[in-house]
Amino acid sequence: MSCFISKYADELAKNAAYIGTPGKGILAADESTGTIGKRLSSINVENIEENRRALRELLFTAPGVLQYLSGVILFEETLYQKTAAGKPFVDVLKEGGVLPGIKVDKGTVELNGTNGETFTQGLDGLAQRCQKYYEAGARFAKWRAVLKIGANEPTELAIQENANGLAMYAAICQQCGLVPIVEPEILVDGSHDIKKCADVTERVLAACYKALNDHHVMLEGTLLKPNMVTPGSESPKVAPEVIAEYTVRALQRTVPAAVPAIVFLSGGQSEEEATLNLNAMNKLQTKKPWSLSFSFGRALQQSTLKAWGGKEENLKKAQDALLVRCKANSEATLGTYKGDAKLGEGAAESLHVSNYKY
Amino acid sequence: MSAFVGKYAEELIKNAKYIATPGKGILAADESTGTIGKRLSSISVENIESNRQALRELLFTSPNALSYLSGVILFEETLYQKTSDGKPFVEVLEENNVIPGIKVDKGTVEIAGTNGETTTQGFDSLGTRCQQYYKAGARFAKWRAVLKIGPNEPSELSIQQNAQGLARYAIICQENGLVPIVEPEVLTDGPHDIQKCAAVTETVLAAVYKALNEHHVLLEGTLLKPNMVTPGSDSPKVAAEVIAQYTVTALRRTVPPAVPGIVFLSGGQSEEEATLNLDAMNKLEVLKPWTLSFSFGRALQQSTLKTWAGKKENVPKAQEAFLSRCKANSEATLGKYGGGSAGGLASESLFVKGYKY
Repeated sequence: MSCFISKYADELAKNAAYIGTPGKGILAADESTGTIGKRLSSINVENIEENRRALRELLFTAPGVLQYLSGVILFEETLYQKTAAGKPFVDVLKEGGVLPGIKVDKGTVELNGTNGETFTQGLDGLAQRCQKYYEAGARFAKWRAVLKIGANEPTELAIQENANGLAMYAAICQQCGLVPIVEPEILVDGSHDIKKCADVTERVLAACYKALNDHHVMLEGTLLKPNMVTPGSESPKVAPEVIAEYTVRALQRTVPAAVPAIVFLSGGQSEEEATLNLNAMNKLQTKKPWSLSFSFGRALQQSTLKAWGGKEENLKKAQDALLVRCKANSEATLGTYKGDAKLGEGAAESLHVSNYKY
Repeated sequence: MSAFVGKYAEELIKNAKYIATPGKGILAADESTGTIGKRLSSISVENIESNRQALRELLFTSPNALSYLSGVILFEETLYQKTSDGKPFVEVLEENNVIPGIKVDKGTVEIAGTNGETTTQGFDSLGTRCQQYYKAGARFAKWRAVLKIGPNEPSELSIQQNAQGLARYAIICQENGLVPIVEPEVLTDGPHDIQKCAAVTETVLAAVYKALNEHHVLLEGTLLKPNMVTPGSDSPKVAAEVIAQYTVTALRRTVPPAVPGIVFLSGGQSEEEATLNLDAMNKLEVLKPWTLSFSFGRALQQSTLKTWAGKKENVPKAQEAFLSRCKANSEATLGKYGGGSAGGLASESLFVKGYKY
């Protein structure tokens, strides 16, 4: 093979395939301390460890939720946290049939000489960190590369640097037993149309898979976390069926069948939008050799956060809200969502933040 | 889209999809005058136009054979030839729902500074030539790039040159209404094992699809003609199931689902080997988002040639031999080949070292 066969090869392939189980998806709960701070402050909750822990406990112990999840991405702090009763979150997840994952990148820095394009940091000592995370129970990792659409963007430099970074990260993860989620997010910011987004997405994904091949990454043990193909944030919206058509076509043109699953990011879409779009993709009658699922952060937690408001007495309401979104997205992975999810407050609210930084 | 969607886009997609019809495949009858000369001389037949015409007429008028073919690749001379009754070959094919194709490359030349690696010629006036071929009835084209395995081969230069060449050829074809068959042949020559062939094939195919993306080629309107993944010619043979496993894995790792069909070249394999390998691939229980079929030259014609031996009285028997291989390969595309259509001739290796068309 042109790929490096790590001693974890079988395990990687098994875990990647499991994450792509139809009917399941990923909860992205890996907000860094700074980012989760913004979420907490939006509901007037103080950004202290106990509150961060309480929020994640709310999510992971919500009755009925874990059956709809195959994985949860965690921030490093959370990987070592426990429930109030003293049970490690990692054990809670495992017992629920959910693989723990870990965010391993260290955020973005600007690329010199570009118009605000970025590169992602985190390669230093990555292998050692991955080994530690594996020992702590993590079985997959995530690394977010960011590109933007502009008059001259993304530049060839930004595409190459980000594709290369993703490939290096992916190769290191595999050597340490972690399934790498490859995330080349193209921001929705801008006034471009859906065709432009499709064009850029295809270019970026082609570069990513060339880089993965160059770096001997075993595709069967990876996942892809791309943006959906949509019009820019300042452009008129289009129907989910249109988004589905452009998105799936872009993936057909670039993502080899060896990749077991594609788990979309939600970008700034509202909870309901994200679910409807995912559903439309799974209804599409066309060649899809990978399963299409979700890896949602904001689009799974928004109503939950609002319902919680940081108050213990709202626990059940908040957990119910999460269950509604998880079930809806599970149905969307099967193309059976009827759009009848009990919309919590904020489910239709756009979650777009200009030039979003984690 | 990053793909160029020109005026022929829908037609390209439709034709590529048709060529990839399960149960059908391609007869590669595009041997250049020099190459067909070698074939004819092996059966002691003179290399003159009427003999070349007679051979191709034998093939294209074989009763029932055309039902197993979706396309035939022709050499330029043949595109304009007729049956002895005066019917253009192109019409014979079209009437039998077989799409005429045309070889458009002009052979390989060595890349200076490499150890015998090559690049493919044929760009001069390629657009104009494609237009002419389209007018003459061709609807797909073929261009053969060649790579070899050695201690330092294929070099990055050779991979890049050939990938870029294939991509440039492909987009020019699409601009002019011809579905490009993309053929990056990794030669079997050598003592390497099957893992080495797999690694090289994956690296080459990844480079090819990156180049196709850069050149805005519409993948839905293309076909791939790769080598199967096998041990080198100087290495011990392996079972068809092993070849199938390595080949399909390599393709799953590199060929985007948007490509409708993959039509294998036979390299130096015997007729029977090629069929058994293709059959094993189609029997493999794994997700394959493109059809797996054949684009065979020698592996479809070998027994037929020998049976004909240039004699008119042998034509019916030769045509039966041809029908037999076509049917066998058709079954192989469906994973239903039962074996046993191998006459002694069908098991003969067709390997020629450093094979040049």
